[in-house]
Amino acid sequence: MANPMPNEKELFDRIQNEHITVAPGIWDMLYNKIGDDVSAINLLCQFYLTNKQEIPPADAEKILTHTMDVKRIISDITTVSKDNFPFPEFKENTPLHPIIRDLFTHYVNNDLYIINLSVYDCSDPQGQQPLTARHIQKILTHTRCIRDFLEKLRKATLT
Amino acid sequence: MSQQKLLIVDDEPTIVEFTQKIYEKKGYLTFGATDGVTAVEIFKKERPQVNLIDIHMPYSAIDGVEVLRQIKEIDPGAACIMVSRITEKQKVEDSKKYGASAYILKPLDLDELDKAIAEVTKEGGLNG
Repeated sequence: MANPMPNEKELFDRIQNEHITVAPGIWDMLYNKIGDDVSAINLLCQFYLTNKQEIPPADAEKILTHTMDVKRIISDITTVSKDNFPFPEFKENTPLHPIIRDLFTHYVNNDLYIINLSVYDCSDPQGQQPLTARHIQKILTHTRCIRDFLEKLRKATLT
Repeated sequence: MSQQKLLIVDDEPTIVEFTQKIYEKKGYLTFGATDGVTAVEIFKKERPQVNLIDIHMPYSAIDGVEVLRQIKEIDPGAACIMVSRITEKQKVEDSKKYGASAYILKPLDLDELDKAIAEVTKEGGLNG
């Protein structure tokens, strides 16, 4: 998992004590979009790991496409201004509480960053090289972290 | 024994592609669809014993619950595993009504998928 924020406990305590919530529609959208991308990365990695094969460059690129997609969703969802919020269906909702925003940007973005680094680690001036088992394991660890974080936050915001 | 058939329905192509690859290696004959209408057409033709259906397919003319309903209308004995999100309680209820065999949550993990498929094939006597 991404390194814990030094004040993580305090932030989660505040979520519970101040009854900070996330609109159900926003959770739906997050689970729908991020769920698809994380599932795709998981299955791709698990296929090659189970078959003791390295991930070829073309499929390594697919991982980056999915991490970019999640990154864009996190960026959209954590938009500070209500006027710029890119999802018209949630126009009536206030943007995410700053604590939720901080947690999202810290944890999910860091996990995505580590996944991307694992892919980039296998590239050289000649281009993308196959991803080894060690890199695949690392990517799977961080997709699990994203899933665990979402679940922890969802439970904390159910008040 | 004839080869087990598995249909994977998900609007995310990478999920379909790699779920097919994974279960082909496990000995299944797999079919993939990235929209509901194609899924029902494949089902009519191939009659897969196990169907893995994503509930949420916003770009498909029919969603996963409707795919389930149509499959069950064609073959009430078909095993359908519904893939849902933790927030989709109403659609899960609808799927129960139409006779889904099992549910798994996205993000998908191979261990959970294996368990769900093993369970429904065991229940339906498809392994023996």
